[in-house]
Parts: sequence; C-alpha cells; structure tokens
Amino acid sequence: MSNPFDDDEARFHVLVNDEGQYSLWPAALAEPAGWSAVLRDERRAECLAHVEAVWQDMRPRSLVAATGQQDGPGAAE
Amino acid sequence: MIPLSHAQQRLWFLDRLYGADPTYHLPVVLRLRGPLDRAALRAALGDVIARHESLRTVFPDTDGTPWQRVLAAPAEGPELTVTAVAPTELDAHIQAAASAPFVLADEPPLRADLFVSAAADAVLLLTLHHIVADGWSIEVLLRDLATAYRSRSGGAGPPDWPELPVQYADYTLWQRELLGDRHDPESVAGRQLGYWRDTLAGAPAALPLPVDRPRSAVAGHPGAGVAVDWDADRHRELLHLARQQNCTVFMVVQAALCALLCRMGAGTDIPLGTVTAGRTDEALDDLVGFFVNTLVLRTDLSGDPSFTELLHRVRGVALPAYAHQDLPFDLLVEELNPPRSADRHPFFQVMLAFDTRVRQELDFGAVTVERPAVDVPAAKADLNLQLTEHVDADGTPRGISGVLEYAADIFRAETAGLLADRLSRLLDAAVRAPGLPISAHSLLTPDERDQVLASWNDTARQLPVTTLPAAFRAQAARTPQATALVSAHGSLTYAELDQQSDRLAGGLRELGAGPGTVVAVGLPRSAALVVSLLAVVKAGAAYLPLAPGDPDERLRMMLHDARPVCVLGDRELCTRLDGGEVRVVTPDELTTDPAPGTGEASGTGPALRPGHPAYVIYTSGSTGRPKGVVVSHAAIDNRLRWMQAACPLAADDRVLQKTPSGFDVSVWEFFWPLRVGATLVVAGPDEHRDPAALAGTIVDRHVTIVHFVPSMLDLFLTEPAAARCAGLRRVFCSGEALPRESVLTFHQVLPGVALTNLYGPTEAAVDVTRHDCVPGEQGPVPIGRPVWNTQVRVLDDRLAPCPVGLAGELYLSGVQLADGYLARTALTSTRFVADPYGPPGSRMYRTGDRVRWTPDGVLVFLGRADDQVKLRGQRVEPGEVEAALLAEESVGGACVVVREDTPGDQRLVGYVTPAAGPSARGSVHPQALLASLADVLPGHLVPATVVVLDRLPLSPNGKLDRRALPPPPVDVRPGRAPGTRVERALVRLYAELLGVPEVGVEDDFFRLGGHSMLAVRLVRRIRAELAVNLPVQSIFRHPTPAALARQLSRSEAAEKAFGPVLELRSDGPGEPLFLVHPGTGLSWCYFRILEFLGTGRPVHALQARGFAEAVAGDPLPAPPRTVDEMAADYLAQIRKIQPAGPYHLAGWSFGGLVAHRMATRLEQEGDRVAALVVLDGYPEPPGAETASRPLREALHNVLGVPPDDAAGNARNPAELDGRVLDEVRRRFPPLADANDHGIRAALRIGMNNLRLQYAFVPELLRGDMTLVAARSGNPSTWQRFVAGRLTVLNLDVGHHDLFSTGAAETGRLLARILPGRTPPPGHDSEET
Repeated sequence: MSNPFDDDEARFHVLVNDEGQYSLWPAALAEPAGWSAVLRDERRAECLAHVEAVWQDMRPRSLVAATGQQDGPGAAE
Repeated sequence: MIPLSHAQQRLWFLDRLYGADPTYHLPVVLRLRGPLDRAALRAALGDVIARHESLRTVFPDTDGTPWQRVLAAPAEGPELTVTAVAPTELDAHIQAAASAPFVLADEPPLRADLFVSAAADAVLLLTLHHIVADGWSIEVLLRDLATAYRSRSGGAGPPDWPELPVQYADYTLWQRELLGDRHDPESVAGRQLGYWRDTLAGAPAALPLPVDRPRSAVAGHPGAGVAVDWDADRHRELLHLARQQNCTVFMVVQAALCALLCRMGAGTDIPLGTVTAGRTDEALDDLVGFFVNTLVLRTDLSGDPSFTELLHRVRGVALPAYAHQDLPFDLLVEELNPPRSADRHPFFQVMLAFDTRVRQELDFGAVTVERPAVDVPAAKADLNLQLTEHVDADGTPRGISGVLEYAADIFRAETAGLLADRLSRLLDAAVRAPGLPISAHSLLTPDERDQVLASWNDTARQLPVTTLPAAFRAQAARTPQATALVSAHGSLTYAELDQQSDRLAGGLRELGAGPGTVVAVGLPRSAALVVSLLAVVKAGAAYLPLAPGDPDERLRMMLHDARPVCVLGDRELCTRLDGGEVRVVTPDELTTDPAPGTGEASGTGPALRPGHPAYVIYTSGSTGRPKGVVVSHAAIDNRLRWMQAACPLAADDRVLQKTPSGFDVSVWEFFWPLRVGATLVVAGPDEHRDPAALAGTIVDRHVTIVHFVPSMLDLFLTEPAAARCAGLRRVFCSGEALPRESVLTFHQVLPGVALTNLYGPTEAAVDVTRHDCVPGEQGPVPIGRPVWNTQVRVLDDRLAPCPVGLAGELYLSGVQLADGYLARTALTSTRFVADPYGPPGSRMYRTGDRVRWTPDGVLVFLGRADDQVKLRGQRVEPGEVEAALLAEESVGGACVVVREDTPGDQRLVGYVTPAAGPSARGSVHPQALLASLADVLPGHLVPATVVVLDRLPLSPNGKLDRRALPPPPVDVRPGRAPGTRVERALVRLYAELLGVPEVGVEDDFFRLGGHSMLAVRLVRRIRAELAVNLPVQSIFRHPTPAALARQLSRSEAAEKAFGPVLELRSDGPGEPLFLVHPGTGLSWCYFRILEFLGTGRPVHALQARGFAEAVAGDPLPAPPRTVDEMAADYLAQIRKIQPAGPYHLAGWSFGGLVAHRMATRLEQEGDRVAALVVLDGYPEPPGAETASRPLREALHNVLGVPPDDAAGNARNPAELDGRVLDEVRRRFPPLADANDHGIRAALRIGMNNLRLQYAFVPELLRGDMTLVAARSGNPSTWQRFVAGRLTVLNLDVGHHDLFSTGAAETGRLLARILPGRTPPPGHDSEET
C-alpha cells in the first residue's frame, strides 16, 4: 500500500483552510470542502517549498484573532 | 498394470497425504417419492456399475506407485444400505454417510444408501469418490441410472443400451500417448509445458487474502459455503456486457472476482484456478470418470485498469489458457515446482468454477425425483466460487446461482458473506460504468459506509473546555488538604503543591513566560519536576520536556528550534547548557516570595485560552531529525476528561508517575490524578526500567494505577514480585502492539486487575482509541474504539474508506489533533491534511499505522504502513512467529525480525529470552525451538535462526529497539555433512530418490526437484530402512534431511528416556546441575530426588551410551574403555547445555567416580567447578581385584538387592533365564517394557561400567569436594584424591537405598550442599 501523500511521482495541490492551515493534497482526488487551493497540480517538492514559504505562523487564525498576539511557538521566523 | 490418469494421481496422493478425508467426496442426493421398487433400484445400480468400469475400480499401489484395478461387476448389484430414519434426522444421516471415508486401495469408489422416512418417501444418497467421477459424470450416472431403473422396474430386465465404445482405463493410456514425453519439446506435453512455464513465471506463491485467522500449518481445511444467488436481471446485464465486449459471462465474473481480490489487498497479480471439463473427445462424453482438469488464469491488474480494459486482459489470458488445457495440472505442478507448502494450494488459492446448465428432468417412471442441494463438506482452495448459469433451452438467462466455499479455518462466515456481497456490488457497479477504473467502485454499501465513517465514530460530547492549570486549581480548591503528591522525599498536599507552583509560575512570568510561549523543563523525575510543569502551564506557557540524559547537542537543537523563554533545570543542566542561547535556571532561583495575588489573576498579558499550546513533545522523525509536536490545552483536556469518564479515578487512587516526561504518556500521569483529587506517586529517577524496583514502589506506595509499554509489561510480569502488586486496580498499556500472550500472562499474574490497551500518536494528544482486555478473549488484541470527540478513519490509497476486514491506513481527526510540528510547516502539511469526511475545513492526521476494522467496529493494529515485512514474496506477521515462540515453556520474551546481514540473503530471525531469567540462557535450546515451531507454523514462518539473549534491547522510552538486536552468529549450515546415522541414511535416500549425486543435510527435498509423489515414496523407504512410520506431511513440514532427522528422533520416545542426556528439569534461573548415572548406566533414579532439589535450577542427568540401542534392539556402540574416556564424552555433552563453567556436578556410586574425573578434567582444562558432590561412591583401594563377578554386581545394581544364587552364578547375560529377566523388569522400572535382548544388553553396559570402576584411579582434585557417605561408606579412600576441602556428610541409609527409601533425605541433603547463586526455592521447599 502506498500512501497518496508520499508519492513523489504524483501531482499535488496546496490547500488552505480558514484557520490558515495548509495541506498537501493529491491532485488526482476530489478536493474536500472548506479548503481552497493556493497552488495547483505541481510536483510534490514544489508544493512543499510553497508551504514553507507562505505558512510562517502555525497558530490557528482563530487563536491569533482571539489573543491578538503576534508571537508564539507556532510561529517560525 | 493400468496406471492412473494424471488427475487421479493427484487425488490419490492427496488421499495419502491427508488420509481419508471427505474433501474429495461427491455426494448426490435424490429424493424419491412414490412406489419405489428397491430390488429394481439395486439392480439398476448394478447395471450402471457394470456399464462404467470406473465405478468398480480400486487403487492399490506397488512400492508407492498406484495402479487401477477393475473389479468384476457384482452379480447381485451393489450393496444398498437401507436405513429407516426420522425426517428430522435425515440431514445428519446424509452428512455422516457422505463423509464416511473411502479406502481407495480396496473399496469400490461408489456407495449407495437409501434412507426411508415414510412409506412412499425415500432418499437415495450416492457417494462417489472424485477419483472416479466429476460433475459431468454425475449427470451421466443419473441419466444411466434412470434408464436402468425404468427398464428394471418395468420388468424388462437389464437396459438395452449400446456398449460404451471406450472405458476410463482406455482414456488413461490414450492420455499418456497424446501428451507424449513432456521432456520432448515437440510433444504436446512439452509444448504446453513451455507455454505454462512462461505464463506462470514469477507468479505469487501465496495470494494475500483478507483472512480472519492465521492459516494453520496443515491444509485439509474444514470447508463451509455461503450461497450466491443472482437473479435473471443481473444475469441479463452481465450477458449484455459480455456480448458488448466480445466475452463470456464467465469472463465478466472472473474479471469482477479479480478486481475484488485486488481491492481487498491481494495485489495486482492475481492467479485464479478454474476447471475445464477435460472431455476433449466426444467418445468420452458418456463416460463416468475423472476428466476435469485445472487451469491457472493469471490476470494482471496493475495500473488500476477500467473494467472494460480488465475484461480484455481476462479474455487475453483465457483464450490461450484453454488452448493449452490438455496438460494435466499435476504434471504442471511437478514440472514447474512452485514453492510448495502443505498448507495451501500451489499456484492459486482462489478458484472459480462456472458451468452452464440446462437441467435435465430425471425420469424414474412412477417415482418422482428431486435433487436437493447438498452441503459441501470441505473446501478445496481458500476460496472457491462455484457458479452455475441457468439458461432456458433458447438461451434466455434465468439467473446465476452457486456457492462461495471458503476454508473455515481462516475465514469467518461473516467475512465470506461480505466477500460475496461485495462481489455482487462490484459487478453491478462495473456493469453500470465499465469505463471507470476498478478502484473507483465502492465496495461499501451506503449503510456500511455510514457505519465505518459515522456510527463507529459517533463520539461527540459537549464538554466545558478548560486548561490544564484551571482544572488543577479547581481541584486544589476542592480538596486542599488531600495528598496530591508522594515521592521519595515526602508528600505534598494539594494546597502545598498549588502554592509552590504558583510561586514558580510568578518567577516564570517575570522572565516573560505567558500564553503562546515555551518553557523548557529538564529535571529528573521528582516532586520538583511536577511543581515545575504545573508552574509552566500556570504561567500560561507550553512546557517542553528535556530528557537530562540526552546528549547536549540534541538538547541545544531542540532549544534552538523551540526558542523557550528559559530552561528550568537542575544545577548539572545549568552547567551543561551554560553559555547557550537560552537562559537556564533552577526552580529555586526563580521561585518568588509568597505574595498576595500570585494566583491566576495576577498575570498580565493575554489570558490563557484552550487553543493555546500546553506542551511541545519531540518525537523521532523518520529522517532522523526529531520534530516537536505542539498540543493545545483543548486537545489534552478532551483526552483527560474522557479518561476520567471511561476509567474514573477516585480520591483514594494513586497513580504512578514513571514515564519519562519526554514521552507523552507522562502527560496523563502528571495531570489526570491532580485534576480529580487522586494522588500522584512519583517513582525514582531511574525506576522505570527496573521491574523489581517498580514492583517495590507499587506495593510500598499502594499504587493503584500504572502504565506500561507492552515490552516493559512483559519484563514486569516475569518479575516474581509482580504478583505481589495485587493492590493495583488498573494497568494501562500503549506505545506498541500489545501481544495476546502478554495479556494472558497479565491475567494469570494479576487476576482481578483491569488491563486497558490504549492507542494513539503524540500528534493526537496521547491516545485516541481504547480497548479493555477481558480474560477469555482470543486473537490479536484490538486497539479498540475512538475516544470522545475523535474520529478514526481507515482509508485506502485513494483515501476511500476501507470496508470491514480490509487493511488500510489509519487517519485521525477531531479535537485532539495537535496544531502541527513546531517550525516545520511543510512537514505539517503532509501529515495533518484536509479531511474529506469531516466538517468543512477540518484536518486529519495520517498515522502511518495499518489497521483494520473488525465486524464489531473495533480497530485491530496490523503494523506500520511503511515497513511491512515480506520474506521471499510472502507476508510474514512477526507477531505470529513471536506468539509461537512465546508458547514454548522455556521462552520468556520473543521478537522476530527479517534481517539481511548478507546482501540478498533475507532471513527471519527469532530472538528469545529465557523464561527462567537472564542467567538461564542454557535453558533455551534454539534447535529444539525451531523443531517445535516447525510443528505449529507454516514453513515460511519458521525462523532461519533463533538467537538467545539475556534480555531484549529497549530504547530509552522502554520500547523494543529492533535495530539494537545483534546479528545472529554465522551458522555453519550450508553443505554440512550428515552427522548422525539417521542423517546419513536420509541423505542417501534423498539422493537415490531424487537422482542427484549428492545431498546436504540442509537441502530442501522440493527444491531439489522432489514432488508429492516422490514424498510418498520417500516415506515408504524411510519406513523400510529406518523402521519409523512418518506421515507424508512431515516431508512438507521438514523438507531437509536435518529437519527430518530431528523429527525422526522426536518420534522415538526412547531416544529421550534412554538418550545420553536425560532432562529432569528443563528450566530454572540458577546454573544447571549435572548428575552422572550410577553403575546401571541409567539416571532415572534421580527423578526420586527432583522434588527436593527445588525449582531453582535446571537438572540434567547423563546416561551411559548404548541404552537407546539396547532398547531398540540395535547393536550396541563400542563401550568406553576408561572412565577418562567416558568423562570426556560427558563433558562434551554438558558443554552443549552449559558452554562454560562454573559447573555443578554430582553422581551416585560409580557416577561419583565419573563426576570426580569430569571435575579434574575441567580443572586441567582451565574451567571452573562450583560444586562436586559424590554420593557414596569410592575409588577402589589400591591393589583391589578386578570385579570377580561383574554380572552379579551389575544385577545387584539393577535390582537394588543381591541376586539369588542361581542368577548370581551366571557369568554372561545370555545365561540368564526368563525368571531373572522378569525380576529385572519388576524391580528396575526403566526396563519394565524391554525385551530379553534389551535387558541383556543393558546388563552388558552395567558390567562394562564395573570394569571401568575397578580400573579407575582418580586424579588429584585441586578444588573442594563434598562426599555424602551412606551407612558403611569408606570416606578415607578419597583423601589422597582431594587437595581442597573434603567435606563428609553422613546419611544413615544403605548404599542401595539412597535413591529409593532414602530418596527424601538424600535429596534434601543434596539441595543443602549445592551452592545457590539463586538459592531460595530449593531451600524454602526443603524447610516446609
């Protein structure tokens, strides 16, 4: 059994949800509700580089909004 | 002699292999209503039998080669057994009669039974052996029977039918001629063989099927079946698709079956077996006989083809297969010689049989006839789908019906039923949309889908969301004076713990700790650690546990990653991390003065919210870089609330905190008791790895709740003190698969204590599923059902939900998910992914664990998705092998891995630890284990090597560390020359039968070209030459001469009792005691003292060579010529059991002399002797005569009393008469069953021992010796042979009574003498 998220040969999307959390997603599969694609049909490595670039603060958006804090363990510099 | 057809040979062989077995019976049931003429029926049966020679053929054999013998037709017709039965008992009678065995060698292969239940209502049961008939034959037989009955009952006498042009025997010869010599590539056989060789090259040896239970080592499965019934509508649609695609309905079903198996995890290379009628000439059409042949249809399902594409592939496979159908299947197996095993069918494990029938009406004149369906008694493959397509005379489809037979030892009925349902569903889906990939069709009904996704995940609970510090504070307010914490340094009340942690929290805040920040804590396990963790979360920060034992570099890496506000450490850690980028302080330095308002409200900055991180725990990453899992208060709060609801703690419960804080199990150990008013008992810093210390703490501190990783649980349970921990209420297990054996041991050692198996990754707040282990459960221990507000999804590689029973990867979703990996967003996005089945925008965590649903909705853990163990193409579940090893008494712990120490040479290696404890490696015998395993496991599951270890290596967190297992010692197997008489004989027989010049003892019979027929002949030859009767199966199970030789010696019980080493007690933690036989040569006398020696050590006794031969009537081996020679031989024997000293030796009488010589030899060889005990044995004084009457003395030794004069005067055992021999039988139990020859041979051994004794002059022993002197012993004779201390202990017992009437005293004294590194058991029992 090969996991669809680990297939280096396959194409992927990068999805993001309302909490600002990102997910790799196999391009061959239907996109789940509540997520929107920020990058489509790319090689896995490209997708991961994209996530690395755009996802800097891992804290859920709702928490950030509630506290108004700017820093935390979920944030990467 | 008429040979058997190839197909018959196979059945004949199977009959030999498994014995008479109803697997290959063909029962035919006719319900007869009306005025039955029994005489006419019997005569008609006689007519049919006369017509078809096959129905009166028996199958005797000559030297293992069977032949067909046609009996004369019985003049009166055959026997027709008539039984009156009550209608309710009819089925049972039919079953019994149909299952009664046939003796193929001399009984006719057709039986007729008539069951009469009412005057005009009878049931005729015809039972045929498949060796003379097939499905087609039955139609022929019934048609002929009807014709004959009409003729006979109408008074017309025998039917007037034309003679059959040919008989089955003719076919047999003709078949051989047609096929020609298969070694001739131009012959039909040769050409077809070539085709099949190419077609089947590289086919999987065993198809991975979704079985419920592991296969047993032996085939001959009990079979059962589930009905398959497809109506005319579905039939019509299948036919329509078939016509469209230029296929047959059979091909459509075949394609669907392949697709189903592929979807159920069988892979993409699917061989199916099917049958062909085999009547390739119309002259054969009217014959009763076994013509059907088996074909292999191997279909490639790679690339996820559409159903249409798959149909074309199936068609492309079937057409050439049928063009090469003449080659009998058994010839194919013999020639291609696939990896064979008695437990499964070669080439395929799934069959599909399909026939199209326009059913005939049977005309029995005035009697009306019905043919009810008959239960199938046994399965011929693991799965066997037998379908009949019903069509009207004009070809109109009327439906397809039949049965899915399954091997009931590996499949449950529900599973077979689900398979049949899914096949129908897949067919419907494929027919509707043949252009879609086969993976696109759901195997689930909407109900099933709802069940696995929703019903079994219905875990929603509305909970007040809080944080770790809020829950603790609330409890401290409720029970301020209750004991919160107990450690080696005293205890703290809730109020004290609250105040101390508040003060430290204040200091942390001053440093900048607050919600959203991290504080690292690197303290050894202690009360201060608990205070610190509470303080960190009270300050609002997340704690990051650091293991003080970790290397500096790793600590710095984590600190760099997590950028904590500070590290709380002890002085040592402060020194180690001094000068780094993070400030390190001790809790004492930071603790602020108690001031009003240091509580919750005093903090400035943002309030702590449930969404804030509570802790960051690092786990190892597959790439080697650890990753920090960030878990929120909301997640862990849910976990703790659920735990309190599921397994409530009361105020008097005491939870042991023993898990290192770097592992997330510790999170509930710390925070669960403290939020519900129970007490936390803090174990010592290193206690978690010391079972004895843990047991002490559990008992002394009245612990009621404790957690173990399963491998640690095993260690704990083998700790004698574990049984004293009866004050425990519940034990939790998690962290690795919990073996069933551990559970069984647990319930034995700690009856009444609950055992709960938890499962979960750090990424989902410790645990997400739970299973309570109940005594009496069997099979793999489930990980259970999901906890509150948690969903578990078993998904295939298209992320579609897996049906029950199918292995998939486990994904988790719900409130317990971690936020992700600290500062590793890309990694987080690959593991915490969008959840297609949850609320919009929700995530799921993919665990990498393979699991399956059981029909009851619990999950079973199967292993990692990424390191499935496969050995030589076959799936190996190490747990199964481990279970088998653990079932051995001598084995305490076991672990099985596949190793590849030499590239390309993958081996299954078993590691075991002795049940008797780490110092008892000698009590585990790898070769014996392997032989036992071969008795219970299929060959591919038997390890190549078993390595005995003192203990299994554990990683820092207490999990089994597979990578730390040492490589097995290089063994000397390949090419070893035969060592024993039996091996020599077997090697010769192998070479002869296989026609090869040379065979090694490790050569596999089947790899050398042996096949099943040859196996029968091998068994015959073994019987003739070695006088041992083996079942044919033993060749399959022990295919090498070495293994077979072991088996042979095992089947000779004599070998054990009369062999050179008699095992009195196989295990015990202490060093073994070796006893040497007295003058009789046998050591059975020592059984008498065994109970007094205690259970502390293994006990082995040496016996004189030659007894096994004496008892078996074989010639005696050359006797030893001196005591020295004997001692050298015995030392070699004991070194096989205990390779190096110090040795414990003892011997009675003559045995004492031999033991003394063994001891002096050991000293000379530089080895150590821990104890030498001589029991009333003495060297002959100088100048003593050679025994004047050795036979008289030998008799005295055996009888225990002096022989009477008549016997005593004999000089040669041959002169002894029957009266004396009977006396020996009566008085000397080992020879009670021996024949005269055996007794005389035994006495010769005894006489030789006496000769050795008189000629023996001991060497000087440098060490100590203890002499047990019986009445009238002569201790002084020893003085000049002992340089060390000679201790003499007297027993007031006669020499010959030491091990009979005086056995108790002797045994107790010996137990007291033996030094005990592990003393107590023996001594304790002595005092009671």
